[in-house]
Amino acid sequence: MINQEELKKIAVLSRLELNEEELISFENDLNKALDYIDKLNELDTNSVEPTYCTPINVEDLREDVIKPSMDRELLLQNAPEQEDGAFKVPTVVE
Amino acid sequence: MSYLTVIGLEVHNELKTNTKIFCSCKNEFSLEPNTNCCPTCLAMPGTLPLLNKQAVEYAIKAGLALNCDINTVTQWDRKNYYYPDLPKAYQLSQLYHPLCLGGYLEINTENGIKKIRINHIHLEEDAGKLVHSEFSGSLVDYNRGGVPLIEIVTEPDLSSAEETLTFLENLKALLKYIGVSDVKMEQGSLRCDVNISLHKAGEPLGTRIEMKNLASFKAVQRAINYEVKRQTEVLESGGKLVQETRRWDDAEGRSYTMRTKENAQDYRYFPDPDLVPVNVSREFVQQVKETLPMLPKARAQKYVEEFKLPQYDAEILTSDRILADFFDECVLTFDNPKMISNWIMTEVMRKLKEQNSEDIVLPLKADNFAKMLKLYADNVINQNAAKTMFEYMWDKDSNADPKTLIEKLNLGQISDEGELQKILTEIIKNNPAAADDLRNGNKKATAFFVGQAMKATKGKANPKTVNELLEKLL
Amino acid sequence: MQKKTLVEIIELLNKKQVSSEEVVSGCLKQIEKNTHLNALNYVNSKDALNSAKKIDERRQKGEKLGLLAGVPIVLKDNICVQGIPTTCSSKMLQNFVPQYTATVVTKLLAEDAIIIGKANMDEFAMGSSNETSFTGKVLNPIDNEYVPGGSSGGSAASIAANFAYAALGSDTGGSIRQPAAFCGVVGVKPTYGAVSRYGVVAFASSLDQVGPITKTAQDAALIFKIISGKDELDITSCGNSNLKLNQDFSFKGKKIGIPKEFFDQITDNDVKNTMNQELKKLENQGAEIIELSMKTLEYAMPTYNVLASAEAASNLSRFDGIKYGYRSDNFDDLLSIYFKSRSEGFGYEVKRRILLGNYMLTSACFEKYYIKAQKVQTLIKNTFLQAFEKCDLIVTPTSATPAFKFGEKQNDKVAMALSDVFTVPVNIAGNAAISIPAGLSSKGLPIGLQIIAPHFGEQMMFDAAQAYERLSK
Repeated sequence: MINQEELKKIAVLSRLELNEEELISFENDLNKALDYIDKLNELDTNSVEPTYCTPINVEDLREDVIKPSMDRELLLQNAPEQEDGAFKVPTVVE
Repeated sequence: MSYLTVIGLEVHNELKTNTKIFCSCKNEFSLEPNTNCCPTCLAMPGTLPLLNKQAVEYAIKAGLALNCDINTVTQWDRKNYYYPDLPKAYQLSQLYHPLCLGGYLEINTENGIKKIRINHIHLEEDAGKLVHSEFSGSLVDYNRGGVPLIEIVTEPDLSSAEETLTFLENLKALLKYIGVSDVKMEQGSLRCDVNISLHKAGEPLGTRIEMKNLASFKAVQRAINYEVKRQTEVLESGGKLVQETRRWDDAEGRSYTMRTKENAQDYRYFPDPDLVPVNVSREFVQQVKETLPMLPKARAQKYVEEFKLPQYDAEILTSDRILADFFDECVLTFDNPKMISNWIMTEVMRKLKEQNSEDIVLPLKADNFAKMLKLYADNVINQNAAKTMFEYMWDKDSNADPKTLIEKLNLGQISDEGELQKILTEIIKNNPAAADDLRNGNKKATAFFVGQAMKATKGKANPKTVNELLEKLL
Repeated sequence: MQKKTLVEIIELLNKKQVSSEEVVSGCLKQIEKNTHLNALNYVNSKDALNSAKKIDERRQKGEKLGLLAGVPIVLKDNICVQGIPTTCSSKMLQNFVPQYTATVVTKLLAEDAIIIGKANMDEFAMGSSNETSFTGKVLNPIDNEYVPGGSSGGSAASIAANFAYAALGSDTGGSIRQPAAFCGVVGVKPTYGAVSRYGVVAFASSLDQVGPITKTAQDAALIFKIISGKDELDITSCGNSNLKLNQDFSFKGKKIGIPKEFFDQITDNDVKNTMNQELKKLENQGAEIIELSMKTLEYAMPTYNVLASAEAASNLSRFDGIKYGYRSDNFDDLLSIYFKSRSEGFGYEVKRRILLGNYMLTSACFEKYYIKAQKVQTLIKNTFLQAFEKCDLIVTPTSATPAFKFGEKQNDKVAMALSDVFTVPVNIAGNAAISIPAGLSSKGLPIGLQIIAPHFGEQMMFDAAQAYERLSK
C-alpha cells in the first residue's frame, strides 16, 4: 500500500503537482488499484517466464542509409517557444 | 599508512555510423541546431525507434577488440528521467542484457603489463545539447540526440591517475584503430566518468565516489589527483565519505557535490516494448570478426617476426592504423621492409609532425612512394634525388610516377665514370689547396669535393662513384 | 444513402450512381445535424469536399482509382495525419498539428479514401466511457443518456450516427470492441503486430492495436485488409495483408469455445439471454459448443492495470511543454515548466495512471508487480493457446452489460468486476477479436457478441463473423 509521503515522491517522479485534495483522492484510488492488483499473488508463477516478444534477427535490422531530415521549420512548428532554430527553455542551471 | 586508490571507468564513445541509432537522420556534427532531425529523434507522439544495424556491428567490433563475449540475445531498456536534452524523457539503453560481457585491455605500467578488466559494453543513444541563449534562457539542439554511443564499463582495476591515463590512451587508440569511433574527447565523441574509492591495504573497499564532467585527459588526471587528496584528507581527519556523484570544475580545479545516493534518481528501468530483443547469431559475430584489422599488438609482433624490424620501430608503425596500412601497402610493392620502415620513421614522420594535427593525413600514394625507394635502392637516383622526389610527391602530386619524375625534375643519377671524371678533374684543378688536403687524408676535403661535384651536376652525381673516382684521381 | 454500408457505398460510387461530392456532403450534413453527440474533435469539411471533387473528376476521366475512392472515413484523434490537428482529446495536445502521417492512414489514402473527421475519445485513450475527454463527453447515438463506451467512443458513435462509412479506433484493453458493442456496430482488434502502430500516439506499446469500426463485418474485413501488414517503420509489426475477402464459411463441424466460469457469472439478463440465443443459432448451423475452463482470464485486468499503466507512464513522459504541446503560463523556471504544464495539461484519469505506472516501475516495486504481471501474462497467453487446441474460435459477450448511463458507476459490483473480463484478456494474450451486434437489451441498447481468434487467425474470424451476420439478416 502507498501512503501520502510515498505518493508525493511518485508525483515528483511523474512531474505532477498535486494539491491537498488530489493527494487524498489519488492516495485512495491508488490503494484501491493496488488492492486489486494484489490479486495477482493468488497465482503461482514460480516456474513461469515473463512474456517476451518475438525477437528480430540482427541481420534484419535497419540499414545504415541516410534519409533526408525534416525541415527545421516544420519540426519547430509546434514548439511552445523557439529562438534561432532551437527550442527555448528557462535557463538550465548545471 | 597511506591509502590505496581504486578506480573504475565508464567511457562513452560516439560511433561513427552514417545515421543515428534509431532513425535515418545523418550522424554528423552541425553548427546549425536541429538540422539533422526528424519526428522520431524529436520524440513526437506516435513515432517509433528503428535500430541501426551498423551501430550493433560497430559495438560488436569494439567488444571483440576488447576480448568480450558477445551476448546471443540483446535487449533495450528505458532509463526514465527528465531533462530538456532528452526528448522522450527516457534514454534507450541496455541494463539487463547488454551486448558485450567481460573482456579486458592490457596496458603497460611501470610494474609491467596489467590487465584492466571490462565489466561490459552496452549501446545507448546520446542526448541533445543545451546552450545558453544570448537573452535569458537556454536553447535545446537535438542534432546530437540519437547519435549511437557505446558505454564501456571497466572493473575497478585501475590504481592511479597515470594508469587511468594510459588506459584511456590505449582505449582511444584501439577504438580509432578499428574504425568505430573518431574518439575526439574535446569534441565530445569520447567522454569519461570516473569512480574512485580509497581504502587501506587489507581492509574492504572504501566509499565509491563518481566524478562527472571530465572533458579532457588532462582533466581526468587533475580530477583524480584532486579527489584522492580530498578523500585522503577527509578520512585522515576522521570524517566519513558519502556515496555521491561529484561534478569536476576544471577551471577552478575542484569538485562539487552533484547528488547523493539519497536524492539519486530512480530511473525506473524496464524493457522497451517498441524495440524487440535482438538475436545476435554467431555467424554475424564471425562476419564482424573478419572485418577487424589485425590489432596493433599482434601486428607489431608480426613486423618483428616476419620483417625482422626492431620492436620500437614496429610499435611506431602500428601506433596508427593509417600508418600501418600504408607500410603494408608499400611492402607489397617493394619488398624491403627495413628501408621502408626507416623512411617512414624519419621522413614521413617529419612531414606528419609539421601537419600538427591529431589525425594523420597521408598525401602519399603507397605504390609510388615504394617505387621511388626502389629506384633509390637500385641506384637509379641518389639520396638527394630521392628526398626531392619525396617532397614533390608529398607537397605537389602524389599521383606522379617516380620514373616520370626523374626526367621531369631532372633527377637522373649520373654514374657515368667518364662524365664524372671530367667534372672532377675540373674541380680538382680549381681547388689545389683542397686537393692537397685530400691527399693528406683529410676526410673533410672528401665532403667538399663531393659537395662540389653535386653542385656541378645539380645533385645528380652518384656519390659512390664520385668517391671512387676521387681516390683514383688523387 | 447515409445508412449504406461501406461495401454498398463503394458499389454505388463505382457505378457512378452517386458522386463522392454527394456522399461527402451527405456525411457533412449528418455531422452538422448531430453536433450534440460531440463525436468529432475536428471536421475536415473543406479538404474533404475538395478531395471528393478531385476523385469525381478522376473517375469521370476513367482513371484507375483505389479501393476506397471517394469514401469518407473517420479517424480516432490519436492517429496522426500531416497537417490535421491530433489532440488525443487532451489539453496537452490541443493545438498539436503533426508533420507526419500514421502508416495506417497512408495506406487508406493510397486507396483514395477521404478523411472527414477526427473522432473524440477518452483522453490519451484512457477510459471506457468517453467521459474523460478534454473536449467533452460523447453521447451514445442509440440513446443519448447512455455512454458510447470508450476509449474509441467518438469513432463508434460516428459510425452508428452515419457520419462516415468506416472509422479507425485503437484498442489497448477493449477500446474498440466495447464502444462498438455499446453503439451497435462492428469493431475489430487485430492480432498484436498485424497492424502498424507508427503515427499512433502510444498508450501501452505492447498492447495497442489500431482496428476498424464499421457497420458490418464485411466492411471491417475490407478495411483490415487495407491497413494490415508489416511496416518497416514499426519493428513490432509482423502481419501481412493476405486476407481473402468474402469467403464462404459454414459453422457446421466448427468447435466454438465458451469460457464457462465467466458465462455463469453474467448477471445482466439481457446479455445472458442474447448470448444463449445466439449460441443456439450457431448450434443450429452445426457448430459444437465447447465449455472451456479459462480461470486465468480473471487475472487479465490486474495484469493490464500493471503493464498498461507502467508503459503509459513512460510513454507520456515526453509531454513536457518543451518540444510541442501545452506549456503552462505559470512557470518561473525549468522545473516548474514540467510540473505546471503536465499538471494543467493532463486530466485526472491520465494522472492517476501515470502515478500508478511510475509507482509500478520504481525499483522497490518492479519485481513485485511488473515482473509478476509479465509472468501472469504468460499464463494467460498459455490459457488461450491451450483453449485453441480444443476449439476453432472462442465466443463471448463483448461486455457483461450493455451501455450504462453517464456518471453511473455501475451499481452491480459483480457486473463491474466482469465488465472487462471478456475484452482485456485478448489484449494481454495478443489475440484477434471482433465484436458484432447480436441483439438489443430490453431498453433497446445494443448487445455485442465477441469472436476471439488464435494469433493471426483473422481469416477465420472474419469469415465466421460474416457468416454470423448473414444468419442474423
